Amino acid sequence: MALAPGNLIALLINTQVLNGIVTPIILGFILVLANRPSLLGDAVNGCMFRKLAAACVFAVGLLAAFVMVQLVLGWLGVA
Amino acid sequence: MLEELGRSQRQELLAALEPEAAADALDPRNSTAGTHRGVSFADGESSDASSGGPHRLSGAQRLRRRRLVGLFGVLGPGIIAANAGNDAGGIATYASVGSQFGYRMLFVMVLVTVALVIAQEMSARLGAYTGEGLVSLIREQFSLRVGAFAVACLLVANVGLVVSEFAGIGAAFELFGVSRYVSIAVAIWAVVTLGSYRYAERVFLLLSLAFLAYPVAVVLGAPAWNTVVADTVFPHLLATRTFMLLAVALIGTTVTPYMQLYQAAAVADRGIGPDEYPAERIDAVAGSIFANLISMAIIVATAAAIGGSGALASAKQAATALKPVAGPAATALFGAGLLGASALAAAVVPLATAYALAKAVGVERSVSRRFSEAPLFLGSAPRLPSARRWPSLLATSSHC
Repeated sequence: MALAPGNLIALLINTQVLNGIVTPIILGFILVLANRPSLLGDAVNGCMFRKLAAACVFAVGLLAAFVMVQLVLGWLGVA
Repeated sequence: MLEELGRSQRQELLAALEPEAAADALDPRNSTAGTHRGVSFADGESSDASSGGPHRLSGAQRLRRRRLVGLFGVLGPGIIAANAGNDAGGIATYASVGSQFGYRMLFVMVLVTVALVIAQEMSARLGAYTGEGLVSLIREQFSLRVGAFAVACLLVANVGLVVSEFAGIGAAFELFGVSRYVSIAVAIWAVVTLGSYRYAERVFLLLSLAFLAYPVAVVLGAPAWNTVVADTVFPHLLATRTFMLLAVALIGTTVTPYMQLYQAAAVADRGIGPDEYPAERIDAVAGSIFANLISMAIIVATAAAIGGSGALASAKQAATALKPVAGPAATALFGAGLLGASALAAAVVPLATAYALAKAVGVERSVSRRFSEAPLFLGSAPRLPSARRWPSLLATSSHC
């Protein structure tokens, strides 16, 4: 794929966008795991930390969803 | 009695025991584990099992893990994990952001730093308190289907990353006047045939230090400090398509999933437990902040040099950001850094993917069939267990 003619910079950016769409999903998993007292005992996420982390995952997810919708609409030729 | 305790309790208990004894007591499923070990040892890995200090991992696993971690043994996992984000894709993204939006993305970068610190800290904590990597945790704690979904996501992201690392190698060589068709083909060939390239790895690590020139370039490049500070502190987003796209690219390249995988795995493998965790937390947080300061330096230096000139067109253009430091040698310096960072990451990312996959397919045979093409693709990874050794990787991963 990297051999394809075209702009390497654009290719690099696009792969990072792909990563950015996956990031909130993985962060969600990590957050759920770190929220489980059965797993971490006393080291489980505190109340404030949990809220802050959830807000972060939500914000990142929102941006990713927005861009993904844009991309899909772009492929469909709508936007 | 051990079977009656919850898994995490068991691990706490084991952490308190002598590790040697723990290794024996660890597995309530010792009978099955025994057969797995038999498979892996029969595969010619037993030599390593006898060496090394006390550890909860089996010999074969330790060998592989050590390969992943070994090179960076002197540095903390947090520093390595976070700075691995400054690879080809990272450099391209930060430079594009600086070129296209000047300093305006710096605020997004602050948010991303918070996200990165949180993600790395949680990953390190999970690694320290459970002694396991993220994929095995996901596998244990979620249903098979959900776990498979997570692994599929990781696979997609990492395939993208590998492509980007080779694109980075190609871009670096183009700076030195070598056609990408030649350089990428040679790079893939070298990685496939040479397999382990210990010494080359060190060279690449040294080369990637070239990016430490960016903070110097920031100071020498005399950016508009007022704007820099204002754009960093005051919240603002632009509701344009490109801004959103680059913001997501910024998130993707900074909070890369494999960095969290690496963080948790490295902490677990080094035997960092709850007692050592306070120090590890500092490492994880400081590493994340340091990595993002470098990232912000790349944005600022690029913005000062070519900010507002539209989308970044080429690596050569990005290299001009280093002119204040290196003058006419800026292109060479940038090329060296890009080559080092890309080649290094091209070696590490597929390995992280291989771990994730191996852990996942350890769950059930049917899943392993679904991913059966993976070894083909991943076969291009350096130091990846060859097809012959693949089964042993699966076997040893299923009891950890």
